[in-house]
Amino acid sequence: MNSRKPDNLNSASLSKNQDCGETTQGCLSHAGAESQPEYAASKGENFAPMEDSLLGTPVLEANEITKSFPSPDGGKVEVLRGASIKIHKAQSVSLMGESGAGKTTFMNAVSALERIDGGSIFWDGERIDKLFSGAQAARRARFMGFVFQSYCLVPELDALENVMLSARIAGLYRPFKTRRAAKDLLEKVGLKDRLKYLPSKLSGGEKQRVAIARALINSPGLLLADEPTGNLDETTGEEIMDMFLRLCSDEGASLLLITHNPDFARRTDKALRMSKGIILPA
Amino acid sequence: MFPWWIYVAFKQMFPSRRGVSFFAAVSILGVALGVLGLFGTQSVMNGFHAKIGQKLRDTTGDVIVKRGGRPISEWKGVLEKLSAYPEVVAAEPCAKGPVMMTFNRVPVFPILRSYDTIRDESVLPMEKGFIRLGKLEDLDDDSVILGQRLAYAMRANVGDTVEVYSPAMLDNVGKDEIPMAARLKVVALLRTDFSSVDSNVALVSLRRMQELYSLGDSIHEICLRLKDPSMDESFAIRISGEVSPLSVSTWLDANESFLSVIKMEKTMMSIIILLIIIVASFSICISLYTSVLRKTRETGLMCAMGARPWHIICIYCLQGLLIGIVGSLAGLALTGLVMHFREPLVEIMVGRERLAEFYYFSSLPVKYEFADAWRACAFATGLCTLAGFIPALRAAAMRASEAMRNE
Repeated sequence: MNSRKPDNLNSASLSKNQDCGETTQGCLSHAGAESQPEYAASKGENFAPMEDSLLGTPVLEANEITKSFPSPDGGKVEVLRGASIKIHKAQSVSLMGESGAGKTTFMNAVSALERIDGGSIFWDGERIDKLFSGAQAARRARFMGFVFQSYCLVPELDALENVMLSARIAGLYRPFKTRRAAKDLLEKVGLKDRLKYLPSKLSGGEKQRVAIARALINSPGLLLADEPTGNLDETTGEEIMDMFLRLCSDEGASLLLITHNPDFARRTDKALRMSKGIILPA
Repeated sequence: MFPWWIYVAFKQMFPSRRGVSFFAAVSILGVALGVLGLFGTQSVMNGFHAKIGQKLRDTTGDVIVKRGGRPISEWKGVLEKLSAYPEVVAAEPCAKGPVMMTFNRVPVFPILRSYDTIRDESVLPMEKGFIRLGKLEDLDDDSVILGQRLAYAMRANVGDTVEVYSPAMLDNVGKDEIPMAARLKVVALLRTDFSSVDSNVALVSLRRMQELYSLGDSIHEICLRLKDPSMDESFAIRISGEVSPLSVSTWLDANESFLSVIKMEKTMMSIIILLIIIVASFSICISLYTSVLRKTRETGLMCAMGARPWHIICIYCLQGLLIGIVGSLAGLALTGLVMHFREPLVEIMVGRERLAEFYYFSSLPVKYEFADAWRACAFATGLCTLAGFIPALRAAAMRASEAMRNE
């Protein structure tokens, strides 16, 4: 984080204003206007266009995302009710919220893993929610990195191969170059001596480090992390988060971090909260 | 560089630092045993077919000219004409029929076959060492050569004298007369390693046979041995006009029903053994399906990283395909190995004598046919790929977002 302190300061100061603009509903609710009609009436407002233009095209822009799922009784459960977000280059954003608030659904929606019912999603200025799933998958492979709570390493591959798998799927695999990059990343996450270890031989923290290296191998524009320290003890979680934020900063990747830990949330450039399918400032 | 899904499929079967996964090893072994069963059985049946065919040719000739079982009197001209063909290696006038033979009050009912001791030309390939414990040259009108197993059944040996009664003797005998047996001295034993011949055939001179069957100068058929046995059918067609009104048939026609039984047996055994491969494919399908369920999150992750549903289908189908290919090749190798050591195996499991008793031969014949190998491998590989397709569809139908939430 220190390496890009001026940027951080800049983006952090901007994000104060951004919060009111990009998540208009958040500003309203923060002002005590909790109800949906009030939010709806004001959602046409926008925030400081001047500062937005200074930051350039957002890496991720999601506007008024709605998503519902069929309920067992034949009705519908509205999970996202107009959630919006903007994440700029090299910006880290945390998203907190109680269980069932729609955080993971929102992450799936903005990463195009889930089709949305309404709203729009832009990656680097390109609208992707209208694309075919194949085109979405191809763009996602090169543009996004994922870190999940449950690591999701392929058990048959060793640490190095797990990291390189992401490059293979994205079509970015170059035998020597990718191997060197994967080794470098594993070295950065402190697993220099564990390159040839299968996941079954790694601890939880080590597995998550491999997952982080895997997420970064394609130099993604945006990293999506869903409670990456959820399965780890406090100390290991701290270490992992330190390293994660530092690497995101070093690699110049933007970050959307879903977490339940307020300390981790505070360490991001912008902290948001999700409640009942809408995004509010933390 | 090969696509990533090939890499993943391969790695799931042959994980890093573990060589081969338990699932892959067991599946490959199952398919290999299935292919061994199928191809091995087919090869043995082919061997039976080929060896029986060869023995039938050796004992009946490639082409037979006859008059529907009735005696041929004007055979000498025909024989001369047929001998002139360059394709013909040997042409033999032949008479044969069932007789009753006794020795030490042990009666047997073999087929007595003539051997032309005057022309000394026979379709029987005596050069193959068919004659044991004696000489073919010793065969005259008062002697007989017994099939080895026939001699054993009567407890007769070279030098003994057997008594022979033919059906014609009964025709010729008057009221209150008893037929006088022909007393023939055993001068040699015949061993063709073909049980139905060795236990059921005896050779006498043509003249003796004509006398026993009251044929006069007639014979029953003319047997021909050809230079190229594969030309039998075309040669038979070619000469059929020239020998008319005699009929011409090949050894295949003469033994059609017997050979059909062997062919039918091969087909039936193949169908039964195919079930082994089908069962193996079921277990592959179940194992892969379990694997799909176990790897739900990984599948979700791969989708998140950019994998398409058809990639996921390919991963699992390819695993089925790889199991099929490796299992088939292993099955072929295993078949070669087992067949190479078949003699000691048969000795231990069945016993050589029993094999000869029931299956005509004292050794297990094997003949590999490329078409059989190809069919067995294609069937096994196809089924295994199909077995992978069902779990693959299940995996591809997963939504990444749901897969990632899977507990």
